[in-house]
Amino acid sequence: MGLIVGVTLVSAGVILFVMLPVLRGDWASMERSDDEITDVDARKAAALRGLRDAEYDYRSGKLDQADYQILKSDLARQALEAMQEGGAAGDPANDGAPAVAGAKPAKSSPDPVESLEAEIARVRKGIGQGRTCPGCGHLNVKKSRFCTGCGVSLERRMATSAGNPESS
Amino acid sequence: MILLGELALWIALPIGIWGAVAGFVGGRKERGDLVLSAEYSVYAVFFLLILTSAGIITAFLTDQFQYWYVANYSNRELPTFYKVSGLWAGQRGSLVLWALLLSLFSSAAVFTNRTKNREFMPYMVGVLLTISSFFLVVLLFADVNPFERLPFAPADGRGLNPQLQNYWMTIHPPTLYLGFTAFTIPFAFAMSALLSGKLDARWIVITRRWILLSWFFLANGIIFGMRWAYEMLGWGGYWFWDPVENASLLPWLTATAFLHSIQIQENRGMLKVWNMGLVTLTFLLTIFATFLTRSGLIESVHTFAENTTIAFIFLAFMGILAGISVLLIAWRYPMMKSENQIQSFLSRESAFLFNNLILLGATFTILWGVLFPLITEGITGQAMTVGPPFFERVNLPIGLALLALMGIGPVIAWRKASRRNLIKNFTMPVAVGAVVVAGLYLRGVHHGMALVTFGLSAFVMTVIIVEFVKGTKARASIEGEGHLLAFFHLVSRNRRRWGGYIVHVGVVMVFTAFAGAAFDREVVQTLDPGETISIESPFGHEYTLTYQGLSTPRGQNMVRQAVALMTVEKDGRPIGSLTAEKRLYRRWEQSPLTIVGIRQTPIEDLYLILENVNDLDGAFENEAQAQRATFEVQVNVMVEWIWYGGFIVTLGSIIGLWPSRGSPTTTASRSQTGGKRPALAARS
Amino acid sequence: MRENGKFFVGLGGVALVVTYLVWTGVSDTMLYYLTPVELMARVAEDPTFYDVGVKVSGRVEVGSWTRAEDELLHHFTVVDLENESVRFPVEFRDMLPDTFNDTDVVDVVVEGRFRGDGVFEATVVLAKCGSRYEATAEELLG
Repeated sequence: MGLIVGVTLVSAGVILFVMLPVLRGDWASMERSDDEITDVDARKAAALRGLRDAEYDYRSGKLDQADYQILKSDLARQALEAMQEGGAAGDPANDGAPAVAGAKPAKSSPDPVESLEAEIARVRKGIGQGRTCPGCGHLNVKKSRFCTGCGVSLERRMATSAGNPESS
Repeated sequence: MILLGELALWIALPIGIWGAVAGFVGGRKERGDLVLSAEYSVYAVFFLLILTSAGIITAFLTDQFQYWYVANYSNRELPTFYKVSGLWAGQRGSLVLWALLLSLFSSAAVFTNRTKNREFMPYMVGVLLTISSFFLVVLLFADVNPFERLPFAPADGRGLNPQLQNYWMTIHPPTLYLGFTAFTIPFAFAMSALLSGKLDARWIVITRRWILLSWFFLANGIIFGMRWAYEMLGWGGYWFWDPVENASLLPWLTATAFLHSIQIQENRGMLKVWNMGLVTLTFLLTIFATFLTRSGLIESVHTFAENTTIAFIFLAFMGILAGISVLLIAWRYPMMKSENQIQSFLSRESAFLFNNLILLGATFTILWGVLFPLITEGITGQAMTVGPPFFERVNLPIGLALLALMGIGPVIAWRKASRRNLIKNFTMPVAVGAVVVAGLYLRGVHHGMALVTFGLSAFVMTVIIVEFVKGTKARASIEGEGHLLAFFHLVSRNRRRWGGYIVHVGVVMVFTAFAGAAFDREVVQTLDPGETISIESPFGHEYTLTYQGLSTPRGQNMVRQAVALMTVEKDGRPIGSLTAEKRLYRRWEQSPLTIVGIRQTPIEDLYLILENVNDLDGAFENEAQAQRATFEVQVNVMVEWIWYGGFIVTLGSIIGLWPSRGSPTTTASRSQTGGKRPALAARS
Repeated sequence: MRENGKFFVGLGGVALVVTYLVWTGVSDTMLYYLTPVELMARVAEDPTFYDVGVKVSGRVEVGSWTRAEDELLHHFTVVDLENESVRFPVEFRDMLPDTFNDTDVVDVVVEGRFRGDGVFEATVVLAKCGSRYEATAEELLG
């Protein structure tokens, strides 16, 4: 007897639970929420990851300077493209770095390069102030050897303004 | 409770089918209520299967021998631990365990995606519940119901095969099953992506952790099985290329390939079709593994009872899944064009591709070897088999190639590596490898393949260590951190990469251990008490074992037990003792079980086997004259490296699995799960 | 994926190597997989079939197992699963698996060669507890 009661309760309970949404008209969302990762975010994250890896590879001697510059500009362009695509829709989602207080770029048409720099800085947890390029005035992350704005070497004599500008 | 468990199984099937239908229809028609109902069905099936499993375990614990399954795998004196694990001791219960774990992961997948990845969920739930329902159908209708009853209850059960009364053998199947079932989630995501056409960069990112989780369990499960074989089969071996062993290896190989090729898709947008194919293939191989184990189609010491009904059902299921997957991939092919191409042979993409091709090559050859009897019988009428000699000789070069790639991959840059830098960076690792080979050769190691393996292992280890050092230095200089902190941050900020390198270290250790097996030694001798047996290890040590005698305790669930004691000297110094046994378990008195004694050190294992007691009955009766016995002593080289290597693989995987703050998949989302039916429904 | 010519070159290369390995591996190591009836038939029609590497599956004849004193040497008889009159003696110089005995119904697979003297010299013996791995109801109750 107890068995029959138990089984009936369990069956009824389970069936009720399962049919509840249909009976009550509860709907599950089937759409992506706004701050979820998008395809654009994924591509941007990949590009930024690539930039970070490229810097490490360069520093550990796997890439020589010429290849590194080419790779860096290529990846920067990709990240920029992704950001421009995504930037129109709102602020870029966090993509591998914890939110740094107050580091969200302004929403009103942010300077893409500036945002990219901010992104890179966040990604690498760049610390504090960076270095200003004497050539183009661009603010680079601390200890960068080359200006990401124009490609000039930031080493030694900051006064040198010659250098091969990066192809954008 | 037991009856409730049985009925829960019957209730689960209609719920599962409803949920599958609701998921697909809800997704197609954009009916959020059906989708929610489908998601609730996933939870419900999980709940019901918990009841079923609890019912089976209760039946074991309360010695309900009127149940055929309990009677076959338990007896009154069986230790409680094995009564609980009786759930997966045999075929029927294993299917329940599979279904349970599948529903567990399905529930986890649904739960963690309550508020994200919503567009994937309807079809994903549909796929998951379809597969779950398949297992439920098999359990209920293919004559493998674990609740089948006998006409009346026997007084005692048949008892558990003594060889299974071992800790490793108990955790080995569930671990493997965790790996097999976890892979259903990436498969379901992939199918969902195909069905819904959402084939952008996201589905890979979303499923990456699930793939790694599955891989992690598979790797551990395989190693547990090796450990069991080494301890329990009493031959000193840990891998026999048995069809069932091979079947568990296949999905692991393709999952390994997948873990590498998804990085190419993530970074370069290439290999989309390839990855879809890999996901499908890996999943099909997990089903194949259970099919092979259950069908008795291929001769194996592992196989359960031959059951052709099940064989056909699984075969049909695999065929249908394969067919549907291929159709879906073909249909969506235009949406999966590569965004880039390989720029250079000298690139990490290229190395990963070779990795994939080689791993798939290994998969193919092993599959070929496993199916060879069936193929030859089908074509020529005469079945031919291939055994360990085939598998070893084909997989040896493949293993070496993989080992080499593990050393090349980290050093070579993405897209296009600078040739000059490559040579510069390889100089030291290659030099170390050469020095190791030369050193070993001079010390008397002349076995060609072992030398190559050791040399490559040293090469890879050097590369990885240098990577860690360089990475730490680079980070320390960029971020201005001290080296220790830099190292910690290096790993924790890029867990995939560095966790992956740690996994490689573990794999290198395991490969090195395999090479060590070439130097194993063994000696067989018959002894009376007081006599000695000696063996010299490849490292120059001399072990002398003195036979002290046989004693006859009686452990739980045993009818008889004979324990042989040996005192051991190493190079003349006493280092302790070893015991080896013969045990007669209750209800299995015809098959004495051999228990070996192992003394493990990092470089070699001393392995003692009580091969035979001349007068075993006399020995069991404790007769003094009945102690003459034949022993086999083995020295097994570097076996511990397998277990340590496995541990390191586990460590690396956990690092790789550990969620990092702010990663795309863990983005906090503040949207609602849903609400009442919206006035403006879904998009058209 | 026509652009990925390099990919296909790599694929082709690996496929070739793998095929070569499999081909030679199979031809060098494959064994006939026979029943005792088939083995006897082959030997009868072709005497050079002695000493060919084979794998034979059958059943251990009850009571046929003997082992030498003080030596790692076993003898037992393998019987065909279907035709019990067809049998042959086996000689094995290694450890037998624990699942092996000659009282229960034990299925075996022996690998080795069938010598000219009519004895099968086994190098590998695999044993499994009966074709019914799980007991029938009768066995449990009886």
